[in-house]
Amino acid sequence: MMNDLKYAVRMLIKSPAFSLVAIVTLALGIGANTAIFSVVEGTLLRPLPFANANRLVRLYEAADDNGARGSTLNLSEHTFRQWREFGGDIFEGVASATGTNVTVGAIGSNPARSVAAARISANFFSIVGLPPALGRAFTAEEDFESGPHVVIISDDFWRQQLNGRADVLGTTIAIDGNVHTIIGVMPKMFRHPYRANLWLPLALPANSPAQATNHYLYGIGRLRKGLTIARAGEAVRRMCAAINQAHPDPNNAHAAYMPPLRESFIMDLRPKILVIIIAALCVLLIAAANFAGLLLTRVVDREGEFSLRRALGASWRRLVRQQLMQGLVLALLGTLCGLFLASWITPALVAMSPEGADATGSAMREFDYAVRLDWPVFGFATAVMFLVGIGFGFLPAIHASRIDLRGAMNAGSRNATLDRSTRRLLGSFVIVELAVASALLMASLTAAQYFRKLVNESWGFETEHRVMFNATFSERLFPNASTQQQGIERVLSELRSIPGVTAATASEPSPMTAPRNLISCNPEGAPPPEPRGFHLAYHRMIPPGYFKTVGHPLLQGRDFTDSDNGDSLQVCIVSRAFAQRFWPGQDPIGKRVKWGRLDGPRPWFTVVGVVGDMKAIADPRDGEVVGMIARPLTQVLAIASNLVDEVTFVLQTKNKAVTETAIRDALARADSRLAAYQIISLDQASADSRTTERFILVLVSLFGILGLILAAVGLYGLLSLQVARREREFGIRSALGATAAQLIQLVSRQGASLLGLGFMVGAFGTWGIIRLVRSQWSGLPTPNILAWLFGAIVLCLAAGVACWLPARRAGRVDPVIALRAE
Amino acid sequence: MIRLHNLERSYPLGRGQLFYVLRDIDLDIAEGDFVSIMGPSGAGKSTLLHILGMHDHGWTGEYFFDETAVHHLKAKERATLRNQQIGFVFQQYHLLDDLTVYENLDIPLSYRHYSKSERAALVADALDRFQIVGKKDLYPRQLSGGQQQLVGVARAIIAGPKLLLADEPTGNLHSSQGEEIMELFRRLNEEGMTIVQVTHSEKNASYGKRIVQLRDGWIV
Ligand SMILES: Nc1ncnc2c1ncn2[C@@H]1O[C@H](COP(=O)(O)OP(=O)(O)O)[C@@H](O)[C@H]1O
Ligand SMILES: [Mg+2]
Repeated sequence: MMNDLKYAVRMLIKSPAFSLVAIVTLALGIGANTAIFSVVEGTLLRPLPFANANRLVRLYEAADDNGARGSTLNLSEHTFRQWREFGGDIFEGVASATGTNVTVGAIGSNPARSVAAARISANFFSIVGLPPALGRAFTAEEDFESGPHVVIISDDFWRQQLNGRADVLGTTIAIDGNVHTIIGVMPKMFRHPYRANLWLPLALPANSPAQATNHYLYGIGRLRKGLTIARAGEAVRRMCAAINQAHPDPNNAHAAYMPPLRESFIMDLRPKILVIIIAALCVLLIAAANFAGLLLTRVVDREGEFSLRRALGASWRRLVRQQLMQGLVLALLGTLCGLFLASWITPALVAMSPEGADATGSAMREFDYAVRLDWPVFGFATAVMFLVGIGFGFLPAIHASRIDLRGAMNAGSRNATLDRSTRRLLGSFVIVELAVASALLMASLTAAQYFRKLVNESWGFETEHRVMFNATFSERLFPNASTQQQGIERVLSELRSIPGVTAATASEPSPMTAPRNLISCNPEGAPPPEPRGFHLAYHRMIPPGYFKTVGHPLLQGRDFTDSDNGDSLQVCIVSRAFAQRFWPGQDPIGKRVKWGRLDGPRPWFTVVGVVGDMKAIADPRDGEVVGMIARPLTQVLAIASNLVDEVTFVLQTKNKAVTETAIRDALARADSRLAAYQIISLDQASADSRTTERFILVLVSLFGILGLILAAVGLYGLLSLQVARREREFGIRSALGATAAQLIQLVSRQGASLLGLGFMVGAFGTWGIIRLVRSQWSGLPTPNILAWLFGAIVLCLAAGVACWLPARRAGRVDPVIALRAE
Repeated sequence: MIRLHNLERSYPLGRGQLFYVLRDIDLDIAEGDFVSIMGPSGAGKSTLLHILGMHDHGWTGEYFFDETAVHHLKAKERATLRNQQIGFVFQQYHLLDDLTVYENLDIPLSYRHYSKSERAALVADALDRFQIVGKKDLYPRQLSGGQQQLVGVARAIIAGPKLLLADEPTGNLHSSQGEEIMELFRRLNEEGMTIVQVTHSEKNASYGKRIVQLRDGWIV
């Protein structure tokens, strides 16, 4: 055994090129796969850190009975209350939360800053089953509108803002100008939901009919033991029917859509994750085929030696053991290098992974987001390679038994070429590799095109020379509409006085996150969709001049003016798609839109203008969104009972010289209690959108490149072997009159036909993969002719390099040496 | 037809020293001659044959083929001349294993300017002439050694060379098979082919018209 090991190591050292290629193949195959999967697992797939997480469900309410996903919404306060009250048979508890940003006052040397926070129902942490690491969760008594000012902080916040002080419980911090007592610290690396650093009580107002159609609550339920989701769904339906009978109300939910909680985070990413998994398997396949090809090469190379040994009486057992040892030593070395590679790449990839939530609704980096190697994947990849190593250990046994011993003794009868079956086997490895590589390449190219289109799609307004930031006008600082109105105007006038600023405007919500605010509506003359009774549109509240400042074209009618106020007609501006959908061929100006249900108490808005459409980064769970409705901020504040909370200010600048400091100073001049946060150029914000998908694109591309490299190495290996094995053939051909060019052609032609076959098989493969993924992801783009062409060219280039080196060697074969009698 | 003058071939031995394989070779071979080169192993016989066959060009001295000064030719011109004038037979036959007899015969033609139909005609002629028509679809390993060498000879002359070079053509054959090849050579020579063969056997050498003895690189 020891002898075999020594022999194997000696053989590997004797052919360093072979060993190096094999080890690199393995390292890339195992290492990169593990690294990329570790990132996917860590950022997307890691199990929830909650006790009995399998009983946690995400709660959506449905306005129709079947609770299908398309027509479901987050919970309204109304529904949350009802389900909490009547759902005791189904849920151990129902919790909800909403995300916000708060301004935390200066702590020691740390200046005032905006911090992501979540308002949670008192039972939130007990429902998910994760108590604070220090202190306690909120009590029911604290979860009231005028309850005590208490806060729970994240581990990060504790360490970074409070220096991890031991007596943190009971100390206070200023949040939006109010003193809050810290009652708890959450465990390390827990930021759920809304990537919060602070948790505050949800403190719903006792009764707020205005919020009945505002579906803004993130709901979680813990199912009672032994209840399946299907049975729970039935039970919720029955509960809803009962509620409806006792308290008829059009705002009552009819059913629940309840995916498992973890599932709800990755649902929309699933097809994309599937793409990554397929890409990873492809790379693994290529690497395995490569390794197999290399080992086969090795066996073929030493065929003569094997048969000689066999003839000299070595048992096949011994031969197998030797070959086996060699495969295993290689697999081991490759695995070690792979592990090293993985532990080196993984943190780099994680550093690249997006921090912020985006439109995909993933809960990226909210739970236990530390980098860890994905051992199962590492184990799987390694096992595959060891299997290949072992499988090919037996090859010489099969081979050696087939060799004609008498022939082997005759040194002169060495084959001039590879024998047919070996060549076919090697060829098929390479074809598989090239096929998989081309499929992979095509997929990455298509994905790249798709994501580029998503990212580059015009927003419908201009992003250049525009900067935006947010400020929170909390009710605690600005208790009524007129103080808010005045506060916003003060800020705007200070902003306009900054040198370099040509215009300033405000919007609620931010220009790029319209989807976060939906309004229920019924355009005049259009039948309301049943049974919900309203359409959903993006909602935006803006002062006059907003559209001009952000460069959003006004197509018809007029912009808002200062006289659109609380005393005048309630007006709105709609997007083109909205107008065309509901009033095709008619003049939309003067038409009316009802807010809420037709039979509801809400007002009608009169359309005074039509603007261009904007890019929709819709949350797929919102269902169909019919367009945008914009309303004058002044009028909304004057008439509506609800105040604005977070306002986004947009500055149009002549150049980029407007600094954060200038903005902060202007804000401080307007109102010293306000803090500017998320200061970002619209260009940058545009780039930051779709971060998850962009990241997935990076991963898929990495796999594509990796596959290409490995396949090229495989092709190179095969052709090199062939050229080496066929040296005598080339010598003969050269002696019989072939020129160097003709020999090069011979090798290249073989490479080209392998490439052609591989590409064809790959094309069919791609088609198959697309069909497979399509069944999960209907929006999947298909490769266009450009992708095919580009893929073919890239593959040809790689294959060309892989062919050229061995071909050139073939062209240089010296017949005198090649044909010397041995 | 061939005139070698003061031809020398050496290999570097390392440390700046040279190892001379051939020394001061002067040799004239007339058209229609049949020369047997003899000598002990390592004497330089194969080396000389490769030089005559223009595979090797690392030598010094003069080599005239007909009126052409081979020592002044560029590689390309040399290759053209060789393709037109010279055929090779090897001790190990050097047939390509995964080509049929027919395809093996076709190789030299594929590297010369023949049309498809000309090639087919020439291969058919050769099969006929060497009486191996029945074997045209067989692979070399399905043939006996003598038959393989027969194909080797047929391949060497298929493109109509004036000079046939053979390096121990019967070295791997039984004596009866060897005789057959030698008879074939004699017939080819009678038809006007110039032949230079390397052989160890006095008997084979006797088929030729004269013998050149090589020893340690010198003609003796
Ligand atoms: N490429 C080479 N490099 C160094 N020495 C060589 C080379 N080719 C042949 N020789 C040497 O030249 C001598 C003559 O070789 P060769 O012509 O094959 O002899 P023969 O055919 O007469 O047996 C031998 O000693 C051989 O070792
Ligand atoms: Mg010799």
